[in-house]
Amino acid sequence: MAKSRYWNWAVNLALLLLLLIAVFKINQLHQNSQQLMLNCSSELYDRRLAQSEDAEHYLVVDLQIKGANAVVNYRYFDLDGSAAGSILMDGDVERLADKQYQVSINHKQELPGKGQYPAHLQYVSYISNLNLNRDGNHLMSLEILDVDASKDYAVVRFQPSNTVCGCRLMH
Amino acid sequence: MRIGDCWFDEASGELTHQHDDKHWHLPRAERHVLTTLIAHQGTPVSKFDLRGGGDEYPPLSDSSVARAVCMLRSYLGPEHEMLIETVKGKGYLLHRHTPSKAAPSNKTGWRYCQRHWLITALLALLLLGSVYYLNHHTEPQPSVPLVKQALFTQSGQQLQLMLYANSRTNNQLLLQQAAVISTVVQSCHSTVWHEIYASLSHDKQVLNMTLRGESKGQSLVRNLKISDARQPKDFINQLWLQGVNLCG
Repeated sequence: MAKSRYWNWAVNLALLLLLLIAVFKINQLHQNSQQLMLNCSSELYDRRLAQSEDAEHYLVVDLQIKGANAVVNYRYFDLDGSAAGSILMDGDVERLADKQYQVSINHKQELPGKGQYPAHLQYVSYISNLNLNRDGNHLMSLEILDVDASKDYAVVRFQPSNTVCGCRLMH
Repeated sequence: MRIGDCWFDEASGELTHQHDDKHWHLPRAERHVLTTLIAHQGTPVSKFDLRGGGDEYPPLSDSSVARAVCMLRSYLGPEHEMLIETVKGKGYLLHRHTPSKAAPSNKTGWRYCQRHWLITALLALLLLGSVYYLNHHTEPQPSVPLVKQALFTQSGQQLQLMLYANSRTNNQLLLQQAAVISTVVQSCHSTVWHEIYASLSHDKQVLNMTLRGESKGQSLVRNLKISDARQPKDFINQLWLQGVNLCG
């Protein structure tokens, strides 16, 4: 009887050990110890104005991922450099793969600028409002398509918008 | 009468622990329960029968019987408390000899066995679940461009044009824009750009163009985001691309 009990507990201990190893592996897959800072500048052209010239703006997106937190700051400027509005978002981040992250925005703040909102700002505002009001969060994933840390650049693809963007790597 | 390490004098109702030299004068309930159990030693006695009662005293309540059993076990001490066994559904049984703790009854062994296998099954189930998760957890694969095309400028300089789309079908609009980019780039004499990335937003409202290159050892990046809400859409054309100085 005592010998049988000994073997019973030996089996249980072995199972427990294997389970701990499996849990450790799963935890490794989902650990959030990443750090990434990107600065992405874009020229915005709005071609909706059929007759006259395009509406032009500049967009600077600062993306900061630190641990499990993400901050995305969209800043819009007119051609003369004056602020045309901004959207500051923050939320949680999860690493999906080596160069892929899932960002769950749960809070945002919009600040007005001078004149009419750029079309891109209206678009980002509309989509994020829609998701935040409906789901309580605005999900987006980002994938680094190409990176060269020595030259401080990264080409990033945002989903689900399918936006490809070249960015400066910040240190 | 000897019960475990105690001696019970039925006549006086005295219980004496022979090792500790402790004496207890048993109250009515304990005395009645013990006397009844002794009278039926070796066979279970129901709670009802242990209640007793008659002309002199009213019957004990069930809780008084249970409390009396509990007190008697405490008098017998931890080594012999098992002399009074609770037999589920039948009552209480006073054994002649203290059952050995080292050799539990078949029932206890069965319970132990059940508990052990429950723990083993639970651990095995959790382990299987974890292994299944690890085996089926596939990291997302890196995106592959829909089209990767080499372009050449007039001076023979090579560029890569890469188109990214969410689907491999219904990309006519993106391919049209790519054709315009290709025509303009190939008309350039030379350019600072090495790679051009192009994608259409999921709702086909924004064309994203990212140009990456180098000049004088410095890395260059330029992003163009063209919104077009018109129908039919005409994000870019040759004239427009020359206007934004695509050749660089």
